[in-house]
Amino acid sequence: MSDGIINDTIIAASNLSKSYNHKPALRGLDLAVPRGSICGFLGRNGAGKTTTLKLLLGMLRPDAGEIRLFGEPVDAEKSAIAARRRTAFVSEDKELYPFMNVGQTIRFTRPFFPAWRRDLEEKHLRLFRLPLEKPVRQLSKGMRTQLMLLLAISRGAELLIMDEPTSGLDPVMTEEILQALADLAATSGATMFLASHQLTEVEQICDRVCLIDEGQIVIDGLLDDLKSQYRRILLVFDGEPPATLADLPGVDNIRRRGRTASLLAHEDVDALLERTRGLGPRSVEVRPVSLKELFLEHVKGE
Amino acid sequence: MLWYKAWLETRWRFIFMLATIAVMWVPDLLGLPSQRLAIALRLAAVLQFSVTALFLAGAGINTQTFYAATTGYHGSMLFTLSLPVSRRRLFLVRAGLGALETWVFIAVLVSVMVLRAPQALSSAEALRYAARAMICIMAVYSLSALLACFLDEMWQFMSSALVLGALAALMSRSSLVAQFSPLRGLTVYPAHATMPWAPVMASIVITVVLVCSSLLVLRRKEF
Repeated sequence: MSDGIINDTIIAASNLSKSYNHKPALRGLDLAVPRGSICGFLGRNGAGKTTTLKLLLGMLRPDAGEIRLFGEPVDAEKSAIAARRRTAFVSEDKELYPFMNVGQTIRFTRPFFPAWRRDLEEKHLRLFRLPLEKPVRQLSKGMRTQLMLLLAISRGAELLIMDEPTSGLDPVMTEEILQALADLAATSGATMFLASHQLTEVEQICDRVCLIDEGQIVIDGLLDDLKSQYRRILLVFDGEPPATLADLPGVDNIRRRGRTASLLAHEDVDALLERTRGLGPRSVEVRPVSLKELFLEHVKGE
Repeated sequence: MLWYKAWLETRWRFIFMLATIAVMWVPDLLGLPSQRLAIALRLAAVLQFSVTALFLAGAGINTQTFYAATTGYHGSMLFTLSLPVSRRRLFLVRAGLGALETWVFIAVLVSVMVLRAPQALSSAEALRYAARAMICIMAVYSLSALLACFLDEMWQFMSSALVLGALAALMSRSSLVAQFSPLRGLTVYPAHATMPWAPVMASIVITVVLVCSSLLVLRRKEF
């Protein structure tokens, strides 16, 4: 990688592998998240999302591979601590210290981060209406999420890593949190890496998507590019769809039902259309592809 | 701030452990003679020191990050690990506060023992006893702390108790083990007037080895 690419890449992981009890969780994962992007990290349960996040944050040591955050290798205690000082993390379970109240939690976290933003702390305290004296153990999951987000945003972090930030929240609160994240990205230029199952939310705020399946990245790119690259081609034949359809270049996936065939295609869709017309279908229809369709087509299994 | 967090985390356990000193009044309630009182004090000291050390160590030294990071249950561990702090520092602060609380507990307990049975223990003997108890208890405590680097809280507690039980059983079979066992350094009697150097020195060595082992384990986990 050139220096320019390294400097503009906030998260860079190459050939990352991790196994638990000889069961591989990550298998040579490569990842690159550019500065300032909001990257959705998608995958099924057990695909390796949370393991990837823990590796990035130095909570686990990889079996093989290299991680760079902010252009620096994260391979030792000192570099991992330096990276965490510039990084915020919102975990999936949103667990904080139950023996502290909201105010104590904020006062505890503040000194660890030299770039702490008091203005953002006060703004989000007002926005989320969090009572300072309320014990954390009495907060609802939604309020805990808001508190975690406040702690993450106020750190003045250049990188926010979030694991299912809106899980278990009602639609109003989800919208509030997505709005807060979008505002932060717009005003601070922070990079966000967001593991989620909520495809509509990812489509709403992310400009980039990485799809992980069985420990490997299967899709990585700008959301708009992916949507423009991929097309669904629906073909209806007079009889059985020809077996040669699957051999056509550019076909990612094919589904057959009776006389119809549905192709997921990318790369030079026009040329592919010409070739399919040569197979004599009765009708041809081309549709754009949603993120959900891309997700479903690329993850293995049922 | 880590000290502050550790104190908030452990204060109720600490207060609870201090409250167990009330066991000193049990012989009175049972109307036991003074010799029985001395035996009871001896037993209470060993048991209370050991349990306190295990209990305080188990109260969240848990930088057992492998467990936290690889299982479904994390508690607040992921939040702690996302702070720009090394696991070594987390461990030293948490274990340090637990050690401090254990020492305070011993100081209070020995003071109560002197007040309860002044004929059994002079002030000078009590001071000497407190000093050796504080040293010897660290062997028990650092064992529990080391196990906290591998195991969750419940298994850490149980494993420590098992090791102590095995040590106590070995003491009755082997005079060598009995001579050097940290548990011997925790007993008030016999020979309370002299310093039992063998278990004291053994405890220092064991503590240093176990603490260094814990730091090595954490260093291996650190990334």
